[in-house]
Amino acid sequence: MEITINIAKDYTTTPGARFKEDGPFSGEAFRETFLEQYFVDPEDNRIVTIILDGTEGYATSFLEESFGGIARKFGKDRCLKKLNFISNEDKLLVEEIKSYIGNANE
Amino acid sequence: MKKLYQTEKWIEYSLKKSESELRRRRKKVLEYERLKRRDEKRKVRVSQAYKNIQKRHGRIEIAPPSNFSLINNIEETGNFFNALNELIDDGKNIFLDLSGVEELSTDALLYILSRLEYNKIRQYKANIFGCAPSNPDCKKIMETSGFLKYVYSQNMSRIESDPDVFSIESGSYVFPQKAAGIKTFIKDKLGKAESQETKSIFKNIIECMANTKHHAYKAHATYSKWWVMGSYIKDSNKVHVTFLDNGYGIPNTIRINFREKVQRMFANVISVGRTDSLLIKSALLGEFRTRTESSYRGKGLPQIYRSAEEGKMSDLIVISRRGYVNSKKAECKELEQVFHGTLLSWNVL
Repeated sequence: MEITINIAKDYTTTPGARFKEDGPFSGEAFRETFLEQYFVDPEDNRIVTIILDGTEGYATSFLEESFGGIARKFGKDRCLKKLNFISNEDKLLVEEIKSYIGNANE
Repeated sequence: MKKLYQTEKWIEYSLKKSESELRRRRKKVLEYERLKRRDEKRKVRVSQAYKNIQKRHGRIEIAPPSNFSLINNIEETGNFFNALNELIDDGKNIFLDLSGVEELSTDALLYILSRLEYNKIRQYKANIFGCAPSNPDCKKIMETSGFLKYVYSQNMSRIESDPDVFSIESGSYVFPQKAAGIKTFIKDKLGKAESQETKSIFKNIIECMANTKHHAYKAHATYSKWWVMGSYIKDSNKVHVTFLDNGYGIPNTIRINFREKVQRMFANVISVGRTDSLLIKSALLGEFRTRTESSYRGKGLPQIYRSAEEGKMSDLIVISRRGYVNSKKAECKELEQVFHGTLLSWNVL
């Protein structure tokens, strides 16, 4: 079974910065609310597809905390296997996110 | 039997001890006062050196240079603001006489607001009044900028809105909606469709706001504040964006190595060999300057600089503490006066 998260529809069209205390729609809040639930169970092998289109843009701090943050918590390899990204508006975005996951300090 | 502390010998000893302690403390106080007086004498009064300043009607009237702009006239405008800072510290009645201003840029207006905020943090130690520029163009810039939303004004109660101006917005946190507002303004004015380039406008504003929150106020998070403004310049069909925060500044909030620490100590004493502009440049280039010591942090400034390098923004100027960096001219220079906070200014074509 595949899970789809459309950031623009399910979360916000205006993603914010890194931490919750920075302001609304932070990467930390997104990770905790939308992503972590699919990583808690190590047996959960469902693929999570994230649609990145439809927002105003993504600050590096938002992307790093959301996806680099989850890689730090649950491991790079698991993240890369489990997360699937779709970005038609900005093709470089997926590579950028994968680099944050790859460079995350576990 | 007589108790020890009631004996004549003990009382005499106790008195002598008290007197000696008193003498020691009095000497310490006198020494402290002597050093304080010496420091006061040595202290260079910036406001005394500033020429456009006079005492009149029980207040101190201070006038900025006719070209009142940080990005175009940093030295003179910087001198004005340093004199103003000193007057605020002294808690004077200050009158900002802007009547003689012939050229006004938005960064100077934002910096005035930042200084007013500084006065607020100091419990309104100084009373600050002022007048608008006589020059109609400058007056219009002031009226349409939204500056008057942040001050009390009797004569200029009329706040005009100008479709070519994204009026001053301020905040203490990251407000993505406000960043989206600037992006929409730029897109509308320049007739741009949604693209990577327009998305980078949003990204950069968010990074600026986040930097204010994370780095600008490491000790006083409650005072974190930023101001942002955009204005469309018809002649050259570009939007000028100015972002200012009034924190400790980039050179004071990034990680520096031992050699740089020593260099800074010497520079503070002998006033030469300052490296603030090089530190800013290094932070922009992403040379692992984050104080958090985490390699995944500190990507905000390099992101902004990359946008300038990729042509998504032009004429990026960063001013912080004594550092001035102009990315277009590849210019790094040290300023005579300290700039309190960080100013980022750029154009979107």
